[in-house]
Amino acid sequence: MELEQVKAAWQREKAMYFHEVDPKAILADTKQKAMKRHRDFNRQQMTQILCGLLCLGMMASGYRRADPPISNAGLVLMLLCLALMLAGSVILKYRLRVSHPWLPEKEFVAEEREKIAARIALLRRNVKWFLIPALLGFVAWQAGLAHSAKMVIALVVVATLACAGIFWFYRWKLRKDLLPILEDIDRELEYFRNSSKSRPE
Amino acid sequence: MIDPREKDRLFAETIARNNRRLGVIARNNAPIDSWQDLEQEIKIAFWESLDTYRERSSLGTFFFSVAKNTAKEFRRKNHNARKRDESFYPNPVFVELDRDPLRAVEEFRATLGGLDWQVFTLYLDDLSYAEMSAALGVEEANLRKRMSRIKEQFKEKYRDF
Repeated sequence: MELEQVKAAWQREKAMYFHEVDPKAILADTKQKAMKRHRDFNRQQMTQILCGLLCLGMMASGYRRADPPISNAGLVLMLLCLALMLAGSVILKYRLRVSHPWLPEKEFVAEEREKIAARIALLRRNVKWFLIPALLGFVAWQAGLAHSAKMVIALVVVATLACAGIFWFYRWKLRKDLLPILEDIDRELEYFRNSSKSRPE
Repeated sequence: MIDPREKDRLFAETIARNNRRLGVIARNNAPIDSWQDLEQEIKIAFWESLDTYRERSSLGTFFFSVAKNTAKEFRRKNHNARKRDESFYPNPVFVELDRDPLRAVEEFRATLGGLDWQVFTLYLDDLSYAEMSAALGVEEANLRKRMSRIKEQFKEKYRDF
């Protein structure tokens, strides 16, 4: 491939890209897309909340007064943990939605860092404080209703596997998605700090 | 809160005045298949930010600030998504098939360092050495040498393509 050939292709693409568009058409299109984005966000959030509530409702329908207390206590614990996880995720999405791109660069990057840190904190909180109690609640709920020791063992195995799977996903998400962004932002903040230090008073 | 009609007017005026600038920001901060996505992101971010515009700075500066921060955020997200995709599709045949001259430019540009990147971009934009020299504050002879090295690197890399 010749560089001249590549340059010509680049120029053609650029010519196609830089065409004059009526600002009023851009305004109408931008307004429409901004509104669509808001609608999509609200719809997604609503779907998530409704699906979560539906799942919780279905699980809550398993509550029977006549069941052993350990089973009911397990169910309540599991529902509570899942509800807290759902609430945490919904609240965080609303919080992160707000962005201030007009801020000075340094403040904007710091704000981005806070967002990523909040997402990491949510993941950690869910795994540390809610996931294991929820699975313990599930095991207690089902074990209280189980008729044999084999079934209890099977439940424990299933819960352990689920826990390991979720834990692996959490690690993967953290390593592949969030930590690289955080490191990138930290490098940038460090650059801002160094450049402000080296600037003469 | 800004008056809706005033907001429409400010938006249309600023976009009309900065359309080319917006294109350059999008072109320099997004991969070729995402230029328009980034442009759209900037327009939406600017539209939403206009509610907070208090005339403390000129509208052009305000627009540039929004565009710069949005581009930065976009680049970060995009870079991460690309890296994730690459880990899913490591097959070299897939990558090879996907190569066209424009992708080659991007791929090659990503391997260049700061000044080389700028020189190569200006070369693609068809600027003369005198214009490049004025824009970058580097001597013409130096730019010629640099460009000749870049051309050799390019030739070496895409010899078999």
